Amino acid sequence: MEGFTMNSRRKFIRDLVGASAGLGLVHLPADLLAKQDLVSLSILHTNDIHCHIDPFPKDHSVYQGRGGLARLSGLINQIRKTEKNVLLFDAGDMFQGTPYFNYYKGELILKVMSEMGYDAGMIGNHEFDNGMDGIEESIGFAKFPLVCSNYDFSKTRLYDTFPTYNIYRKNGIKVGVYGLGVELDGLVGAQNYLETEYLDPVKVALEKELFLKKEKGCDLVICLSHLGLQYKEQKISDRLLAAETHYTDLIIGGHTHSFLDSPLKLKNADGNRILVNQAGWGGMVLGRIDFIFDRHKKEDKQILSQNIPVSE
Amino acid sequence: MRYPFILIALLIILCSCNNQLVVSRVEANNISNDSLVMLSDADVAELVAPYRENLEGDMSRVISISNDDLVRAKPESELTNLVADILLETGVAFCQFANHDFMPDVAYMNYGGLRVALPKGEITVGHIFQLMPFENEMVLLKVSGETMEQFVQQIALRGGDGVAGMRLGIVDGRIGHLEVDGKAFDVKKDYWVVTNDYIAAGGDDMSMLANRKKFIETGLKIRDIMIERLELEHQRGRQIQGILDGRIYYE
Repeated sequence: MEGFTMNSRRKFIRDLVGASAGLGLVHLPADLLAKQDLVSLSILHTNDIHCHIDPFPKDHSVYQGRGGLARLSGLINQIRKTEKNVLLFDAGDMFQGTPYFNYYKGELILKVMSEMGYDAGMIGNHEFDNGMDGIEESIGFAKFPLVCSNYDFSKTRLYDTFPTYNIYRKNGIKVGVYGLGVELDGLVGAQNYLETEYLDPVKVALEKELFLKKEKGCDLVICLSHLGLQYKEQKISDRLLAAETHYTDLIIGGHTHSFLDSPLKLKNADGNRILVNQAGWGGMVLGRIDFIFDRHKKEDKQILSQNIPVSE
Repeated sequence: MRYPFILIALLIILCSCNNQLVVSRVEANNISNDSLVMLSDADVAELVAPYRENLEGDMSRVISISNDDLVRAKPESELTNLVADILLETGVAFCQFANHDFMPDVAYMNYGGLRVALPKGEITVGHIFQLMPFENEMVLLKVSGETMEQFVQQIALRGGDGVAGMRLGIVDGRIGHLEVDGKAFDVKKDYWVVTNDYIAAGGDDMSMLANRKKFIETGLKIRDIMIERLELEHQRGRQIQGILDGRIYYE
């Protein structure tokens, strides 16, 4: 590195950063400072609503007067008033549980959830309760996608109904979402899912998170899971899945109707933080996780990486 | 010519640089949706209202009159007997309709699956929904005599349950006496059991039923069966009469 002093090196980097910023390759620090450094994204979520559109009865033995989707929607709208960037997800089993389902199949619950402004849902095992016909007849009432990555519907009539991932952009934050369903065999009558193929959720998760993070460049990767929080036996669950992943930031779970005080902070395959949350069931809890991004911190990281070639 | 080399290397690095945002902080809060939430979404309430009205109208439809309060109890009860009897009758009717060369020998309705008592007087659709909130379907199972014995042993162990087509005497949580279809139980014979898909899948500690020789799904929901049977009997002018016939007893 003869003839290339520390001072000239710094100047060189400064010039280079300035030049390339004009090409849109990187942001200028000044450009960033003009904006807010911190940007927050609120992830709201439910699971296992089970058609509990009305609150539990006041004389219910356990859940007196809790839940109710009009009230839940009121709560969500309140958060939307104070937070700019909000995404609302559900982790499956919207169907089954009250006469609203027996009478109106998926129609009313999907209409209500559409009115509430869900950004995505997932397919739980109970979504199959009226068979493939039941899904086909109801799905049109959902104005939000059901994201499912590990049920292969290609041999069924529902082959092009469910996206395997979805990407959301909120104020410059790119959020990738994939979905994992629980194994159907033994849980759902075979006549109800027909040729739907269940794919290994871990394998699918690793593919999807890599794709969303690296190819699509998502800032945040979220998994909508209906695998269940944990089991006594070695059955795949959100806990076991979390330990296998690399790029998933949050698993929004369901199926086991788990009431958590706060999300579990677990370690992924690289020892980094991954959150796992679940919001009870029946619309009794709204999970809320706010991710605060530091736009400035990203710049630090880049400057750090820029130092590598010149200090060889 | 080191300078251009570094320039190119830097450009490559910059272009491939990770533009992704980094999470610096996370705040989480699982919020309870209870009476503390003051604001209801009027649009959602308005959307649901006509559906609720229509539903409540149907739920209040009277389908039968009961002469007794039907309460579940062990070893047997009017309620468990009623449901098991209807299940057995419907299982037989299903086999006749489907031209099967067999009939169910016994019916089993798990005690825990019946969630409320039925009151004396008018029975509505809503009552049956409360009695059976689950979407269980009627299924038929062919099991070996040995599996049947384990199955009945489990019923004996829990001190009674909802059965039809058998007579069971329990001694200290074990089978003391067992008749099926009016004949002495034969462990070398196969038996057909009509029950719900939850039990057939091994629910309620009935895992021995996974060991079955044949399995037939009917696609009929047990609640629908109950509503239709009771309504039909009602139209024929027959009221619900609680039956206690000693089908399960303590010796």
